[in-house]
Amino acid sequence: MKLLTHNMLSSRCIKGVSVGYPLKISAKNVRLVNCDFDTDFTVRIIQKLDWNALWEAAESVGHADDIPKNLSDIDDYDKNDEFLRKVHHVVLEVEVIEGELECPETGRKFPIEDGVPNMLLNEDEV
Amino acid sequence: METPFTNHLSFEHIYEPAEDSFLLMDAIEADDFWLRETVKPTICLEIGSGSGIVCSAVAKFLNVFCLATDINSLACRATRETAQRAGVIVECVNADLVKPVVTGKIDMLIFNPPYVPTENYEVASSNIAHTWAGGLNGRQVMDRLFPLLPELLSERGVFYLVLLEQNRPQEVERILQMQGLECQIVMKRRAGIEKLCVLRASKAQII
Ligand SMILES: C[S@@+](CC[C@H](N)C(=O)[O-])C[C@H]1O[C@@H](n2cnc3c(N)ncnc32)[C@H](O)[C@@H]1O
Repeated sequence: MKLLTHNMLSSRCIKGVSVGYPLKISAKNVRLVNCDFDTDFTVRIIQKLDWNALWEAAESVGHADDIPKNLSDIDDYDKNDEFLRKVHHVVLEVEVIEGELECPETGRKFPIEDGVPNMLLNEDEV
Repeated sequence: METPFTNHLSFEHIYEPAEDSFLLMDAIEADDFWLRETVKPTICLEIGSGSGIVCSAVAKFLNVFCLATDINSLACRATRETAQRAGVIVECVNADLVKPVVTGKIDMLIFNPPYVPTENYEVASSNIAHTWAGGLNGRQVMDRLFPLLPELLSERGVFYLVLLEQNRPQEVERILQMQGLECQIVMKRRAGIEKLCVLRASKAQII
């Protein structure tokens, strides 16, 4: 599970949960992979991101130093190649292979195995 | 559109790519220009990715980030392998439809659902039943998705759905129109006894 994927997952589907976002990550095994960098694509991805959730996720897997806590700290980020490469690295190249996601409201845990989060719910949870 | 290899997979517990899979790929390929110039998708989600053939092909064809869900964990694994072999990024989540996906981010949604009319109890009775058994009019699974679409799709979001004639495509169009989506049947094909089509629905009038 890449951090970009984490940015788009919530536990709002659990009965009684109002926001369910962002999910907490506890990672047992994190892997770094190589992905081709594309300036335009990275800018478009940033426009989709919830930055706070990304920063928290990066922090929980030991990569918070790579990106600023506030996106507003960076002027003209779309022209800042160094910054864009760092974001690219954090959102696409850091992968949680084994670990857990946790609902921030109920504490319900979702296992991540072989990089795939299992977010299936039991009938009594929905 | 290049067809990703799936010869590393066994199809005992997951869906083997068939005419419906290829029809969906062809319909997306035919929208090439419109997708690139008008929709400009950044994030694509395939529901029920199975072998991963469709999302891997789309990830290679368009410059998008592809997410996939499948209710079958073996399909999630297969999707990852297929994407890896094709040299593309597809991220898979084991989930029911789009339940864990946040709202408003999906620019392109694709679904080749279990569409065969069956008795309702057959739906979800096994991994293989998941691939095809659609309950009453073959609509039981896809009907649960429709009310979620307006929230799920981004402003420019588009949705591609494979339908069988018995699913009553016109009724599906009406349901989606009531959600404020623009609908169009963009491709039709006969495959053996199946009369298949692809319905395209988009949030805004961006034709
Ligand atoms: C007809 S197959 C399509 C597979 C692949 N996309 C293709 O076109 O070859 C339907 C897929 O949907 C999955 N599926 C069925 N019900 C689902 C649900 N409620 N949520 C997520 N996936 C589901 C099945 O496991 C299967 O992989």
